[in-house]
Amino acid sequence: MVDERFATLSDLDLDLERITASRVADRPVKMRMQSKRNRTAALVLLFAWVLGCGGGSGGSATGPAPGGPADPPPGASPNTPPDLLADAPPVSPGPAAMRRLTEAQYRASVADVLGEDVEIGGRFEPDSRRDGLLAVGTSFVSVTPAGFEQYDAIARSVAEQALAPERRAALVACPPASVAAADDACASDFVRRYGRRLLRRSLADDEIARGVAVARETATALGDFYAGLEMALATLLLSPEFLFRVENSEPDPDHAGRQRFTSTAMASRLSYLLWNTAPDEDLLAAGERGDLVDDALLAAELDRLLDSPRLEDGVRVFFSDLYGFDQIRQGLVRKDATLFPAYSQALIEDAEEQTLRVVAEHLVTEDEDYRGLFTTRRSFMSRALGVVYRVPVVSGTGFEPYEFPAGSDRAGVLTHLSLLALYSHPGRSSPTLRGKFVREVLLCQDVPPPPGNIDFSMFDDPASGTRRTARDRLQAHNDNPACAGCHGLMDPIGLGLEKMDSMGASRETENGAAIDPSGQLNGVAFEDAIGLGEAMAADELVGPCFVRSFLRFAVGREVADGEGELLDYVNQRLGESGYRMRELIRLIVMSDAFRSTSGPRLAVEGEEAS
Amino acid sequence: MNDPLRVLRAYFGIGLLLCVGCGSSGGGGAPSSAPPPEEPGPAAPAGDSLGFVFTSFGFDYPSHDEEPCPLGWNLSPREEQVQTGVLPPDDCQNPEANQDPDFLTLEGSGRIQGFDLDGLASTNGAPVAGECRHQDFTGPAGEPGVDYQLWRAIGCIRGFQRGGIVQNVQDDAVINGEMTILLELSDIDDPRNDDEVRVQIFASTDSPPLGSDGKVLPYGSLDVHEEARFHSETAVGRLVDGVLQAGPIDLLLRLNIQIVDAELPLHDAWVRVELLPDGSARGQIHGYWPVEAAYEVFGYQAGYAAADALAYTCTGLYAALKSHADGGFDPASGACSSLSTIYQFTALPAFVVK
Repeated sequence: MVDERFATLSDLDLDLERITASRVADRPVKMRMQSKRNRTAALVLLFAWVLGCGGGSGGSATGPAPGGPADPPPGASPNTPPDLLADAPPVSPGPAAMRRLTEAQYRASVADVLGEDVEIGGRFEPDSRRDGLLAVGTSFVSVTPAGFEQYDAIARSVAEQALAPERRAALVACPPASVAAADDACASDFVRRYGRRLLRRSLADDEIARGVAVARETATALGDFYAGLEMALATLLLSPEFLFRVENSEPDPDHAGRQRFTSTAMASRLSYLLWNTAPDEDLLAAGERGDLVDDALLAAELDRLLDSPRLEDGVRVFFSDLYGFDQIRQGLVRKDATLFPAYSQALIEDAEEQTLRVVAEHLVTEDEDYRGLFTTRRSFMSRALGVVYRVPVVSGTGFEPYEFPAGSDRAGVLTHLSLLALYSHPGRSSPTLRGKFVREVLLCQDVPPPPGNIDFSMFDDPASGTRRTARDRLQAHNDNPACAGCHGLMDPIGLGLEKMDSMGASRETENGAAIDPSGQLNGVAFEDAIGLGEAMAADELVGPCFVRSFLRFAVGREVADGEGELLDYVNQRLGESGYRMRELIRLIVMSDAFRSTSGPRLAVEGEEAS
Repeated sequence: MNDPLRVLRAYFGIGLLLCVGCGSSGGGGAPSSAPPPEEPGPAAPAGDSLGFVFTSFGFDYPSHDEEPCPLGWNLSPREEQVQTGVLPPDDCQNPEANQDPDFLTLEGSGRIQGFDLDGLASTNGAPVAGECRHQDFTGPAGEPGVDYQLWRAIGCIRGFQRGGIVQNVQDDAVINGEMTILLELSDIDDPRNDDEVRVQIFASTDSPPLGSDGKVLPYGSLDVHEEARFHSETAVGRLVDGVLQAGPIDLLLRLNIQIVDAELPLHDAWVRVELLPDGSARGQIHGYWPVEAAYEVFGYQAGYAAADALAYTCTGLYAALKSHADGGFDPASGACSSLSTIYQFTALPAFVVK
């Protein structure tokens, strides 16, 4: 498997070389788009074929450095004991697959490697949500012909900006012998350095030579050394090893018959999980030294990442994924402008930011128990949000800390505008959607899909008749056995949030009738949204669901059968100490579920990459 | 903006407004005489505060039993050209260079809610000592003494009428950030009846939050103007049946409307605020507008273009403003330098950030 995989990627690189070489000839004249499309289509077929073959572990172009692991980096936190999981049950890890960089990861990687001021325009291939997470979907997506054209345009633009005259001195360490001619030595240095950062591994000599050849050919054709570097850089940005996280594995010397991720692959796994970006120089170096397959050195590097402010980036991405906030960024959360004139895209984006700030402060800054997210009154407020929450905001721009006062009807993330608006209909709230979100996302329970022959007439005209509140209308489901089974799981939860309308604004009545916000969660009755939050914080499913979701996010796949005992173990540990984010990350990252793999995921017949 | 020393002085008491909604809002006709001036009380008000942002602001309109402008409207320069064949010169920057003997002003009687700013029921007869000759309007129920000389000067100009250009421009200005005005009522112990409530008016450079329907959204947070001169003095007044009357104060508003970038000062002004059951408010600001400041807006800055659009001559307008001035009496010359002016407003709840 290892050799087969490596051969595949090598073939792909050769094809890229041909493409880039032809671009050089095209550049001074109008691009032959049809021809380019054909080449792009061929490349995409190759992508699909690679993914269809299973993706995942394969041989690494670089191995651990001779001499064994190096000393822990200075300043590393000693918080993670190397034997953290010494008494953990054995794990049979799940399969691995190539994961396409999300748009956020692409942007962050480019910013970190080439500079934060490089602007990235264009439309990215849409991410795909699978099994409730985009992180899982990333291993099921490929690159379409249209998407590759976008990547191509973005790569050219990024390369042009990165090597613009005012920036090239910072990026190119060696002054070329002549700016009007090729300079193989300088180009080689450039390709080696930036290829390593972008592909998250050191390049082999033949790979560097191909990049230098591209630079030489372009520089010679155009009489411009930097144009050559631009083309070489664009080529790197189009490499499948940049666009995808190719995480190679190797036999685990401590466990016969098991594959572990290589130290270099672990650098990327750690960096994208904790920081949502490419490995920094220290992490990459640690990976290439082989440190990250050593318990002690991995623990030390993990602590360094956990101690960084950039941990917030990773945590925010996890929760954004978990909560489905991608729908907000895509402009899919809309409200009836007649009913909710205060609603706008800017407002809901502020609401998303509010929730993610609360999550980051609660879990990262304060290192508090995850379950407290459902009861915390601490929040952040912008002026746009203040209008809907009806609270004063001193800061004219941005966000400021805000604490909902005792007696407020708001506490916890379930009472945030973001989730309330996201899980509502455009014109009215939805106890069902809100309850479904809680069941499926926060409690990890399945709710069957509704039957196709539902009579929605009473919901379409809620103001008529006697069913004026959502509770009244949903009572109809309780009267229908075909509906009651599922709605009984969802509605009693969502009804607790009914004093917040479709936009999330507070209200006391609906269609003139007083709203009763009482409900129940898993047999625990509550009086209102505050009570719902308290019930969530005390519910025995909330913590374990958090753990399961994070494991799925970390490994980019569903939990494997052989990982169940690990989840039980982690839950026991966290149940004793509190569900704290850093501790959860430590337990997951140090586990074999994150560090090992059963091998490449095999394509299921009839299943297509989306 | 994040200065921790900044204090949010005014906040909106929801419970307070709920109580307002429990009762009917008071009507409150114009007092027959101005309430006795009160000195601002001690600081540190103990009660709740209410903040508002204006959603409309403009000249108030008297009602008349008879045609107030029996000779018709003033003409614009171009209309005069049509009638006389001669286009009047652009004399807006030098309004005393010519004369407009045909300029029409409002001479009849009329009724309007307002204050008796000077404490006198003035007529066109001989003025009393310290007074410039003018004719008061009456209140809605016939109360004498309501001063509104600005309207007499501009009441026969078409563009100043209800629904005209000026009203539309002013209403737009208060919601699009060109002339944001904030109102704060503080030290409120009882939102219906309170003997001592403090009132302050602020200009703001913030724009009120607008909804997708283009209307102001309530509960926005807006900064008071960074320059203290755009913060009015604090008036202490009385709240009776949900209607507050307070004064006198001097205040300075800021306007930056289209080609006009000016200040709007009012001196010896009184404020009337009616708190409505839905939490909004409406009322009036009634004070003296210096002639030169008024002409700065409509003459020096708005210029010939405004004269043409609104239909007046600058020469005629300036002369009318001066001749109708009833405030700022100068004992030495016996002349007045400002005009009693009634602005009306509507407002929504807002958080006034100081």
